[in-house]
Amino acid sequence: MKAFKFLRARTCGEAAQLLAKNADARVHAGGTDLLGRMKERLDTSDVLVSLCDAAGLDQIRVETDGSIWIGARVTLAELAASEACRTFLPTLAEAAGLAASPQLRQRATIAGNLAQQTRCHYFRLATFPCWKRGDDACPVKEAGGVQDTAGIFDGACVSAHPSSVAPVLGSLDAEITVRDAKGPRPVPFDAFWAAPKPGIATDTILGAGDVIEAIRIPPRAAKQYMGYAEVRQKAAFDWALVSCAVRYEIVEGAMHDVRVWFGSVAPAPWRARLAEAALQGGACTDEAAAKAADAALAEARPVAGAAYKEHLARVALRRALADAREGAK
Amino acid sequence: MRNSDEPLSPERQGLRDQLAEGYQMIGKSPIKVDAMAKVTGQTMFADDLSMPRMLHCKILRSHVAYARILSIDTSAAEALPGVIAVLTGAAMPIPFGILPVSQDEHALCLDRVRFVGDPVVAVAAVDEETAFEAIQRIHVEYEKLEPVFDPTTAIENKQEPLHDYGDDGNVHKRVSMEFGEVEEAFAAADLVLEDTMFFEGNTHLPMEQHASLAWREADGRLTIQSSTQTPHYLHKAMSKVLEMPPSRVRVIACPNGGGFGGKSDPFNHEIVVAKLALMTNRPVKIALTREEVFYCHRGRHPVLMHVKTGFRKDGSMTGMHFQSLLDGGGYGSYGVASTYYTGALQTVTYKVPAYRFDGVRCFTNKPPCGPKRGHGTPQPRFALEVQLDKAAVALGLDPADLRLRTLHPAGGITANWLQVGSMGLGPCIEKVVEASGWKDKWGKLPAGKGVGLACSSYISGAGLPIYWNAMPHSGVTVQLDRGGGVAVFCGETDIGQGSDTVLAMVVAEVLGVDLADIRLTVADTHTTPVDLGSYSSRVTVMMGHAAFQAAERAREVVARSVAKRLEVPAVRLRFAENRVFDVQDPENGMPFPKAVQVAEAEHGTIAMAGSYTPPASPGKYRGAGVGPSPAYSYSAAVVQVDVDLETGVVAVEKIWVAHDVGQSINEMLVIGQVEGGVYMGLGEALMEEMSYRSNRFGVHKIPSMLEYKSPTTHEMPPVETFLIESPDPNGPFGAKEVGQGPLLPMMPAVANAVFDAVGVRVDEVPVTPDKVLKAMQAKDKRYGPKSFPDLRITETMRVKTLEQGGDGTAPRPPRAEKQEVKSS
Amino acid sequence: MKPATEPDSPARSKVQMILRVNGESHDVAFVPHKTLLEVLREDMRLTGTKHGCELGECGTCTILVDGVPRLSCLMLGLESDGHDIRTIEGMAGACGAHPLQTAFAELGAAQCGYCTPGFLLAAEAVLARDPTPSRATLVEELGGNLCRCTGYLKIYEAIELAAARMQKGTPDA
Repeated sequence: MKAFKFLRARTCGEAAQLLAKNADARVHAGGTDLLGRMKERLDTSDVLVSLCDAAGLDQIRVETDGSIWIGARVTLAELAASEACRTFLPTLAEAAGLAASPQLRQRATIAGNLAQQTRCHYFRLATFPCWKRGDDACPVKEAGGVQDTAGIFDGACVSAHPSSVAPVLGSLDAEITVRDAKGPRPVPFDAFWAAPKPGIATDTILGAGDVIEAIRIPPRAAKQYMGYAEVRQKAAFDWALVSCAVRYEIVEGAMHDVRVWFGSVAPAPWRARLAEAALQGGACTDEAAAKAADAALAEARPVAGAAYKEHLARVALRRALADAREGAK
Repeated sequence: MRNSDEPLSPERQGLRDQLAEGYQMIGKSPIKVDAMAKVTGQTMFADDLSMPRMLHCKILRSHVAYARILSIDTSAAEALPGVIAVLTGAAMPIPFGILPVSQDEHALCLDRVRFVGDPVVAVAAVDEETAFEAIQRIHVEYEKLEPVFDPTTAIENKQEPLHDYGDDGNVHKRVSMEFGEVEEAFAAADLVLEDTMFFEGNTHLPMEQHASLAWREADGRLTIQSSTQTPHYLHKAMSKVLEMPPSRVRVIACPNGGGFGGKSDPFNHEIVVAKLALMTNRPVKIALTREEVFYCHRGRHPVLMHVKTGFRKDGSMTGMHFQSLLDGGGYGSYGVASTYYTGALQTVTYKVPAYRFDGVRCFTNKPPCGPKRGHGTPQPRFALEVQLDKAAVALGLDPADLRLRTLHPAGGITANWLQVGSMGLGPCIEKVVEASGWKDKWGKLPAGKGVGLACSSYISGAGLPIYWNAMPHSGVTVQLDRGGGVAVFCGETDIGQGSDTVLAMVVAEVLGVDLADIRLTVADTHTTPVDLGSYSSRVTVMMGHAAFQAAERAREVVARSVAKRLEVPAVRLRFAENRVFDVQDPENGMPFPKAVQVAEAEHGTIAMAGSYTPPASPGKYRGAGVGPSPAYSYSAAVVQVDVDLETGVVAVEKIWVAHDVGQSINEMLVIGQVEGGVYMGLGEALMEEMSYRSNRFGVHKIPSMLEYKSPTTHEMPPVETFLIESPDPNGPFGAKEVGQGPLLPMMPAVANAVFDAVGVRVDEVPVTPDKVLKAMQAKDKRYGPKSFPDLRITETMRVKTLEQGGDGTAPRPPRAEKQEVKSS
Repeated sequence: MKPATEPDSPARSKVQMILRVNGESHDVAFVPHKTLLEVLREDMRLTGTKHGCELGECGTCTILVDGVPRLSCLMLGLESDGHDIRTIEGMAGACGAHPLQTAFAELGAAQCGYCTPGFLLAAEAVLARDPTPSRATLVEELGGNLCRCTGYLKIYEAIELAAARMQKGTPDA
């Protein structure tokens, strides 16, 4: 790795101060994505501001209002094992527990999972062109992609956001607490994701000086139905080919307040609003799932090599709804 | 045992008698001689070595697939503090390569780069980071050339050829031979099947990244320690390129952290660090990154195949025409041998009375392909075993019965003149059929569940060395010391398969000593007799014979002296439990150390050598050098799968495998090799692929360990292993190979099981979920290649089979093929 | 050819730290951007910890940090401050090999032996939590360690043998 300065923040606030003073600094916590990129010279920052000692960020708390506060440095292993998660947010515990590998889950943090960069190999191999890294065209669009890393929607960047935890957080209407030197600000999950921009690696609205402090899951009055499904070829050292998280309430036998989020199909976790609208007010059945998938995927234009994912998205949606219905989580 | 033409002395007869009474060591499972070092972290792999004043090397590699090098500017790199030397290809103009006919590589590219990852400039610096910074400051000006990524395009020869040798243009090798009359055989068949299949390339993925450390000794000699499976061939290549006499170059192979064929070529980085060490007069080390290991490659060739086979109603074959098109990548490597191997072993499992093989290997702008576990034979084995499954269905036969009816006879000679020895495939099939409950499962499991059967065979070492010579393939020296210690020297290289242990066990069996009394010196070109290397599953058979001979000769000397001292006939002496004694009066004897002292007093220092050369093959035609082996192993497997009908994801639930190993030397290691082969085959069957993104860049799809999918604990099912022991007359103690054969049935068995589960044919490896799903949605319920190109065969060598009265030669001069050469 | 001169970037000046490794405190100096893997192998010469990718993709470099399996390639040396590090070199004691090591050797669970240190430490952590792990537990807990030689089967058998012996209180056969 290239040499860098390693600054340890004692609190999240101090991290924000350090970031403000070091324009080129990167936030370090688990290091699973960042150190890999630095080893590959995709990131050559001179300063790391580390949250590894920052107080309190490794906690999961059930607040008095019923909301759940998850510190930025909580690892996927901790999410999967957490009693609060398993009780109140079972889909989150499930997705976290299925990710990556045991050692990576011990290390990878929830905030890092959201902020990780694409696995598209044109992006990851610095010697090849990539629109996201500032080149004119995306070679995947020209020549086809690999289903693991390519999405199913047309756009300037056709990569797929690899997180399967993110769609679950989306389905739970998670709110992300972002801090900069001026203080914390809440960012709704929908608003956290930025459209791909040329030459910009990140897929989020996080700017220089920003650090994720926590993820907050709002409280709910009514009983929540939550479902999660993923299709994967390998159970470890791999990503889901497609993941889908749903949440809804039942009012007089019909689904209300429906959320449908997909992972690994678009450059950011993808909220299928048309599917939500199609499901809203109806019964949770396989037929409703099929119609919702038709509605959601009408716009799908997979690049060569990723067409299979469109089919998997349908399967995943049906299975996630069945999981919510049958699992009674 | 073979290879011993000396008359049988009483001392040797005593050994034969002793072995006939039962083995002390052979067939048992003592722990590997290197096991404790490995479990305590003491084994020193190449990257674990370091030396004072050591420099670190990094190599700048091409990021374009095909280009002419116009200029190289290294001035900025040289100016970087900490950079000690910068090396370009001009300093090493002599080409090298593993095969004498393919000396087409340069340690650093001279004028052209031929794939993404081809090495161009090397830097030696005080640490790795400085070396890395330095290579980034090097500017190489390229003139891009039109690359070719696909052999079906390469064969048309529209691009500038990658090399100025080969059969024509980008066709590196073209071969065509016919044994018997194949067209007549098809005419006589009740059923003729034609299939086109594709086997995607994949790579070895050893856990250890290649590493090498080279230095100049104080006396001017050069020493390199490296993660290589073939120190002897590296020795030859280094001597050639560096223009140093072999006597002044020393190659020491470190224990390999996995090889699987991926460390069998002499590599550019090995020669580069040696050159840098000579230039700087300092030790220089390189440890490749995982990405670079993908560029070294030499893995499984992608092969497009067309197989046409005639069957009689009872399932027996009348004849076969096998065509293969190999995607060779940028250099020759073992490719000529690989090409022949795609046509060699189809005949040794089932009786194929008439056989024709056409093969073409093309150069393409990708990392070079070479030998991976099974070298050139898993691809045709896949095609053959899947086609047999189709034939069984078409003929209304059980696939297991079809195979059992058509087995090649033991001791027979195949259509292409391979001498089969012991042949235990029948018992292998019967064992897995019985254990798996095949008869109750095949065609009878619920939708989504299925079983598949496939078989294979593999060589126990190649009959010929890689470069033509009349010398032995393996040598062993055994030296006895007065303390009862036994020093054993051999050039063999342990790559994890346990060859060190096999060496020690063979010597221990003959001398009746403990493994702990044996000290090994191996894989060092300065101190050990040559063993050609750990490839082609040759070590147990060849080194085993050499070790037996050396130990037997040492035993003979000791027995002669002890017989005199004890006043018993030498034939009655037994060597067991660290004693030498009279079998008729076991109390009359002496401890082994005492026996050595008695013999040393009479004969002087006891150091005896043994060696082994494989028997001549009956095939004498051109090309008959690939395929012959002292012995063939056989395997059969049943795989049970559960296919997700919605997603096409294939879960393997259980595997039953039986392997005819002739005779286990160490049963635990044999089972370990079977399980490891099954694992690796399963990875190839389900997910592993070395594929490339696009014609524009030729970059490897996934030069990372994560994205090159390989099976984890979750994907590995339970395996039931059965060993069939049919001792082969050519094997030491009857032993045959086990390192490679058991891998081969996995790919066709999985494809056949998927058919049984969901009724579709995936005629392509790997059998990935998307392909299964596409096949399920396809009208013809099949996924696979649709066409096979014209190989442009103009001449076919014709060889009469034994049944036709042939003598193994090609009696008639090659004549022009009637078939017209189509223009493209 | 040029005379050797060390790079003089200030970021490359070493930091001094006390590392607690295998029960002993070591005063180690290393550059701050080194991973713990590099510090162990290069600055402490503890080469028993291997590497297969240096990107967290294989599990070969697994060590125990406070008893938990961690990838030493994705952890900075600086982060090990105050933690208890265990490597393969610390597994065998004065009275001999750990039962897991013995069982791995006896059953052929180490073929090439390159992934073995990582597996042994991961297995030790499994047994610390669950002295009689089921096959399913082993599959799950060892999912982060790749082996290309064994197909994992002999590794499971060895762990089960060691577990049985540790239950009985016999270190080996």
